[in-house]
Amino acid sequence: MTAPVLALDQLGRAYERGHWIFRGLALTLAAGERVALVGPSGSGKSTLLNLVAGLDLPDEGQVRIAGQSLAELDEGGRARIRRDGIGFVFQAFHLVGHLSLWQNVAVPLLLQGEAPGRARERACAILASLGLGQRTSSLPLTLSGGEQQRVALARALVHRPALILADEPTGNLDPETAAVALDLIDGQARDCGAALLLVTHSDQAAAIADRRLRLTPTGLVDAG
Amino acid sequence: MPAGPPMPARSRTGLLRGWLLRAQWRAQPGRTLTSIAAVAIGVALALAIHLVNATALSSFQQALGAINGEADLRVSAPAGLLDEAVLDRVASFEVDGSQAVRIASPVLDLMVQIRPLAAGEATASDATARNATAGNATAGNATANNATVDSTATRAATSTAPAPARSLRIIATDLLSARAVTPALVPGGPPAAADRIWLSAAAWRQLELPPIPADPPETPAAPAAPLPRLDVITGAGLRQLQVAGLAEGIADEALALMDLGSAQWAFGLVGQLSRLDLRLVEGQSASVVQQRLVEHFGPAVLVTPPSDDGARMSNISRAYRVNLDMLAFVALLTGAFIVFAAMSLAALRQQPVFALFTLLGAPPAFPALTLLGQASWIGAVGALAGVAGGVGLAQGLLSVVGGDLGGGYFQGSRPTLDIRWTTCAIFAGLGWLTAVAGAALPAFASRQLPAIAILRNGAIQALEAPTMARRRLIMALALFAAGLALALAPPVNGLPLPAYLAIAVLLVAGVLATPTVIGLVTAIVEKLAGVVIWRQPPAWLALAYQRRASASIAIALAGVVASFALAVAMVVMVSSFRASVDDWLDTVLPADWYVRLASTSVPVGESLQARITAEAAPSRVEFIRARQLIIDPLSPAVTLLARDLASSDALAARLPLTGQLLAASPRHGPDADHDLEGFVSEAMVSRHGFHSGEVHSFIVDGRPVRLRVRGVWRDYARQGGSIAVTRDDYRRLIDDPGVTDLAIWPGAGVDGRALVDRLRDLDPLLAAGDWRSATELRRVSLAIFDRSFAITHVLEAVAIFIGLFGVAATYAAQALTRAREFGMLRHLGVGRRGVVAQLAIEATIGTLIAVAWGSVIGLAIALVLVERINPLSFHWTMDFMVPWPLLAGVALALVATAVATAMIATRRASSGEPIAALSRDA
Repeated sequence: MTAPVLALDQLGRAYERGHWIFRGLALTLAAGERVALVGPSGSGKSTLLNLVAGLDLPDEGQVRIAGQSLAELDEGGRARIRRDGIGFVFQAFHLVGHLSLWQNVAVPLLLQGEAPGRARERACAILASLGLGQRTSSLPLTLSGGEQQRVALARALVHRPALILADEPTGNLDPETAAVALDLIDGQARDCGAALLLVTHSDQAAAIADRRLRLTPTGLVDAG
Repeated sequence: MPAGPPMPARSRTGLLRGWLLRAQWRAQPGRTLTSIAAVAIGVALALAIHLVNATALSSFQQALGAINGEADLRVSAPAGLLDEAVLDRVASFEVDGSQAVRIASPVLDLMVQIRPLAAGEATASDATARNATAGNATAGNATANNATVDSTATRAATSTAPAPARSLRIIATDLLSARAVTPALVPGGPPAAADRIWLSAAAWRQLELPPIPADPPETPAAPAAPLPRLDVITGAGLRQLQVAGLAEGIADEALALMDLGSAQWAFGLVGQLSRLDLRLVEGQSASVVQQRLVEHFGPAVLVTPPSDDGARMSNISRAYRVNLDMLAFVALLTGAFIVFAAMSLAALRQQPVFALFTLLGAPPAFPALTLLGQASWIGAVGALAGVAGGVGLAQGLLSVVGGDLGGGYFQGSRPTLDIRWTTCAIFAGLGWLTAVAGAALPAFASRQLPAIAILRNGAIQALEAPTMARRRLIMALALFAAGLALALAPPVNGLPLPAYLAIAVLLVAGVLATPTVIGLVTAIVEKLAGVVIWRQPPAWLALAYQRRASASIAIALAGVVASFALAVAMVVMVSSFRASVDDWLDTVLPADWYVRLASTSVPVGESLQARITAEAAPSRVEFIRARQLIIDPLSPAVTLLARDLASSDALAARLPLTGQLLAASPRHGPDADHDLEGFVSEAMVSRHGFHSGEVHSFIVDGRPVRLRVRGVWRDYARQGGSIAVTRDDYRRLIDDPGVTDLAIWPGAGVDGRALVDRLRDLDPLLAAGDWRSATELRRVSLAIFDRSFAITHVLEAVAIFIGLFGVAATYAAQALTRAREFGMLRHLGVGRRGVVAQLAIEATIGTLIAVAWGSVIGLAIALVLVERINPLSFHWTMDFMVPWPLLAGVALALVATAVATAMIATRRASSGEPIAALSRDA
C-alpha cells in the first residue's frame, strides 16, 4: 500500500501562545484526488498552505508528504520536497518579468538538476501543449492575464509533481478566462495523476474538486 | 515521490543565478557600473600608491646596494666630516693582534647646489667664455651696446635665461680602493681627470641635460656632441665641472661620481672625508670589529653596518607610506559601502524572485548565494579594472612626479615601475573581498524571507524586533568603547596601527547606532511638534514612518552616515593641519627675504659674510648655520640650527613653542651640567626623548656637546627633528664660522627689492643662491601642502559621491518597496504632490539626521587623526580646527541633493496608475 500524497495529522497552528488559528486538522489526499479548501478571510487558508509547503512548521500535529514528515526534515530537505514533489499555482501568477516564457517554466527543472538543453526542450513542449508554442521566447509582460496563468500552470506541472497547491488560481481572471484556466488545471492534473489542493473563494473554481472542505478553527468540515 | 522521472542530485542553480545576474545587470546598469567603479577606484588608488612607494623604496635600496657595494662596515662622523688622518688609523686597525681591515675606501659624499650650463655659456671661473657670452648676448639685444664687460653685465648676460640651481648628490671615491669595495662608485675615464664628473641616468634627466650621447656615435663621421658643463656652488665660490659621461653603475638614483682628490680640491675640502667604507679581512667578524672600533675611537666616530642606511630610509618613510596606504584603504572601505547600498537595493528588487524560487524548491542558501555571486562579479570586474587602472596610475605618477608622492623622502627618484604581480593579485583579492563584504549583510538578511508574504505583498523592509535593537545598541556602545581604547593605545612597532583600527571601529559603531539615533530624534521631534503635526498629513506620515522603520531606513542611510563621517574627518584634519602650518609660517618667517646660500655640506665663509653685512647696512641680516647630525644611526638626521640672535630668550621669541618656556640656567662654572641651552622640535621629544628641562649630549665635529632643553617648538619643515641654538653659543663650542642661510630685514626706508639686487650682485655665489621673499615662501609652502593633500581631497570627493549615491539608492529603494503604500494613499485621496511631499519630508528628516550623526562620528575620527595618528606618525602636533562654514555647505548640498533625488524617485514610483501600484507583480 502506497502512502497518501498528503496527510495532515491533528495539525494546529497558533499565532501566539494559546491563541489558535486552527487545530485538530486532519486530511488525507490520494494521488489524482482533488480537494477545494474554502473559508472566510482570516480563517488560516494561507497559513495552512505554508505548512503544507514546508515554509512554516506547525505547533502541533504533522504534515506528511508521501509518508515523509516535514518536521523531521531540515530546511534543505523541505526545499527538496517542494522542488521534486509540489507544483504551485498563484493568484498573481508570479512570473519573473525579465525571464522569457521557457526560462520561467524551466526553473523547477533546473532546480532539480535537469540539463539546460533538456530543460528547455521540456519547457517548450509543455508550453506548446498549452497553446503558447510560438511564444516561448517572449517576456511575460507581453501576454494577457489568461496567457500568463497558462505559463504559471506550465511551470507548476513541468516537473510532473505529485501534489499541486493552487492558491486562488483564478482570482485575477475574468469568468470566461477563469473557466479556461480551470479546465487546464483540471486536465493537466489528471494527465499527471497529481493530487490537487485548491484554496479558493470561487464556487466556479471549487466545482472542479472531488471534495469541498471548509477550514474552521477546530478542523476541516465538509462544505458540500 | 515525484510523479516524473528521477532527477540528478545536483541543482542547476548556477545557471539560474547566471540568468538573475544578467537580469540584474539589465535592470540596474547604472548602479552596477557605479559599484564596479567604486571597487575599481579603491583598488586602483591603493595599488598605485603601494606600487609607487614600493618601487621608490626598492629602487633606493638597490641604489644603496650599489653605493655600499661589498663594504662590511662604514666609519663616519656623527656630524660634519672626518679628518683624513683617520684613514690610516682605520686601515691599519688590528683586533687581537690581527689585521682587521683589508681595504678602507675613503669617500666624500656631498649634497651640493648645481646649475647646468648651456653649451658656450659663461661661468664665473671662465673669463674668456664670459667675454664671449656677454658679447653674444649684447649683440643679440638691440638696447644693449655696452662693449665693456663688468660684473653686472656678466650677471645680466648669464642670467638671461638662467637654469634654476638644483641639489645634486656627489659621491667621490679613491679609484683604486673603491674598485675593491664599491665598484659601482668608480667613475669612468682616466683616474687623474680633474674637475670631471660622471652623472647617473636619473641625474642626467633631473638636470634636464641634452640627451645622453651614443657611445660610439651612431655616425662615425659625425663629430661627437660636446658634453655639458655644470656650475657648482662651493664654499669658495662657483666652480665649473665638465660632465665626462654616464655613471653606468647607478641608474635610478640622481647622483654624480667624481675622483676623490679632484672633489676635495674642487670643494675646498682637502684632507676631509665623509666616511670610510671598510672591507674586512676574511674571517673577521663585522660586529666584533665594529665594537672594537667604537671602543678605540670613542663617540667621535660612528661605526655602522651599511645596511643601517636602508633601514633608516625605510623607518623614516614608513609612517608616511603606511599613512598613504591607510588612506587608500579608506577609499576601498568606502567602495564597500557603495556595494552595500547597491546590493541592499538589489536584494530588495529581487525579493519576489527569491521568494518564488524558494517556493519552487530552491535551496535555502539560494538568495544569499545569488547576491554574493552578483557582488562577486562586481568585485571581480572592479578588481581587474582597478589593477589595470592602478598599474597605469602608478606608471603615470612615476613619470610625472617620480617616486615621491609628496612626503619628500624619495625626491629626485625616477625609478622604473616594478610591477609585482603577487601584490596586484593581493590588491585585486582585497577589492573582490570588499565587494563581497558589502553584500554580506543583504545576503545574510535574505536567508529567511517570508516567501508567501512577499509574493502576496511585494518586497518588504522588515521591522526590527526590540531584542535585536537592544543587541545592536549594546554592540554599538561596546564598539565605541573599543574605539576609544584603541585610539588611546600605544603604537605598534612605532606605527599607530591601533589608532587606524579605531577609525574603522568608530565608523562601524556609528553605523550600528544610526537606527537608535533616528528613532530617538524623530520621537523627540514628534513630541515637540505636538498636535500641530496632525494637521499636516504628509509631515505626520513621514515622521511616523521614520520612527517605526528606523532600522530599515538606517541600513539604507548607512552609506550617507559613513561617507559623510569620513569626509568630515578628512576635511577637519586637513583644515587643522593647514591652519596650523599657516600660523607656523607666520612665526618662522618674520623676515622679508630668505636666501639659501649653499648646501649644509659646503657653508659660506666669514669674508663673504662680512661683505654682506656691510653692503646691507643699515638693513639687518641674520646668518644661519644649518647642519646635519646623526644621533641614532637608525633614525633620520637631525638638523642643528645656529641662529644669529643675541640670547636664548631672543631665540625663544622667534620660535613657535608648544609648551612651557623654562627659565634660562647659568651654564658657566665648574658645576654647570650643560654647555649650551636650546630648543628642540617635537620630533626630538618623540624620536630621541629630548624632553624639556633635560640635558642631552651629542657629538659635533668630534666634540661632545651637552644641550639643556629650554623648550619644545613645532617644526613642520624637518620631520627628522631639529635643535635651535644661538650662533654665539654654537661658535663658542665649535670652530665653524660658515653659514648656509640668510634672513634679511630691509631697514626703514630701504627699498627691499633694490637691496636684494645689490646683494645678489655682490658675489657670483650669492647670485646663484635661492632667493625667496617671505610671501613667496609662504605661497610655495602652502602650494606644496595643498599638492601633498591632493590625494586626500580625491578621497573626500569619493566619499561625498558615495554619500550622494547612498541617498539615491535609499530613496529608490523606498520607492520600490512602498509603491503599494503610495498607490493606497492616492486611493485615499492624497494627490501625487502629496505623496512626493511626504517622501521629500522623509528625505529631509532622514538625511539631516544622517548628516548630523555622520558629523559627530566624523569629528570623533578627526580627533583620532589630529591628536593621535599625526603626532605618532609624523612627530608633530597641530591645533584642532573645524571649518564649520565648509561643512555646513557640504551638508546642505547633500540634504538638498537627497530631497531632489527622493522627489525624482517618488515621482517615478507614483507615476503609474494607483491600481497597478496596488497589484504590482514580481
